[in-house]
Amino acid sequence: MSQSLKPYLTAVRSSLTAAICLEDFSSQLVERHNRPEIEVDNTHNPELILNPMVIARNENEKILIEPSINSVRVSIKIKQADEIEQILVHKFTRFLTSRAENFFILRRVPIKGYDISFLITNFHTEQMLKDKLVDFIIEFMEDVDKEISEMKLFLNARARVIAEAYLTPFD
Amino acid sequence: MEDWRRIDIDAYEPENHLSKEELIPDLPPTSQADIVAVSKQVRSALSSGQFVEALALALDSAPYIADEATKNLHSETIFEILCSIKNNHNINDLSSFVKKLDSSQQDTLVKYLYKTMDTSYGQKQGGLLLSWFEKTIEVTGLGPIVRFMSDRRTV
Repeated sequence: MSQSLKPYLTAVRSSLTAAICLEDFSSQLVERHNRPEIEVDNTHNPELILNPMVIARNENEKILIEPSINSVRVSIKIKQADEIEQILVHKFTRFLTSRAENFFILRRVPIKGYDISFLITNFHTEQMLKDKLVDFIIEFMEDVDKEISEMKLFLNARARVIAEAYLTPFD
Repeated sequence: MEDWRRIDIDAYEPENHLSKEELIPDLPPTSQADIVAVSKQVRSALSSGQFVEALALALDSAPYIADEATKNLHSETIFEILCSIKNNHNINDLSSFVKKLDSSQQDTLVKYLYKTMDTSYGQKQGGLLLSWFEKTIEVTGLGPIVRFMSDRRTV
């Protein structure tokens, strides 16, 4: 398990390090606006968007990195093996995204097909260290798998105790 | 006239910005027949055990200006080479293969690794592609990733 996790995380780390290379860039379309170019719909400046990268460990676990001149959008698909994990991942990501302002780089709505998205702009890289940002995302990816499987075990154990207690009168 | 606020007025001034077509580099197009010929050559090289030659040949003849079907055909050919090298060698030998390529071939290899990871057959073999990626980056550093992002010669 951890044997294929390590190359996955090193691939994500090197890709993110290369992608988070941002500069302040004013909008070419609207005067005195400065917006993350990757988020601009119907952009008329395709030269500002770079080629997106997908890094996949398997069909259920992948990450999409969309770089542009002043922003990077990172979308993660978390491993979901069964229905319980789907519910847990949904609840967990909803908990985080509803508190997005505390996480700075978290995007409120994930990209379609992915569970959670981050948006890193040049203002974030000015205030925070790039290596720490990369570390944060890597750590998040490591921890979220651990957290979900832990929650699943806990849920199963609790369900068993409840079922036992519930069925005691019929014993 | 309803909803006039939603009219995209910038679309009516094509002089002010570049279009997607203008970003496509000016290179000669590659036909599907060429790529089929390359894949045949690659197969015969693989069956005679010339792995480095097969990989170098396929990476040198990457189609930049071609339709999607041709590009996908070529990336399947490269995926086949990567699989057969992995199946016939130890995982630690992969970096020696990468070292035998020149730097533009290494860049193209990284492009194809990213492209195959986006396909369904590549995602089934995620471990293989990731170990190739790891070994390549160990040899080359971050350069090919940056060039992958900014290069308009997409594969």
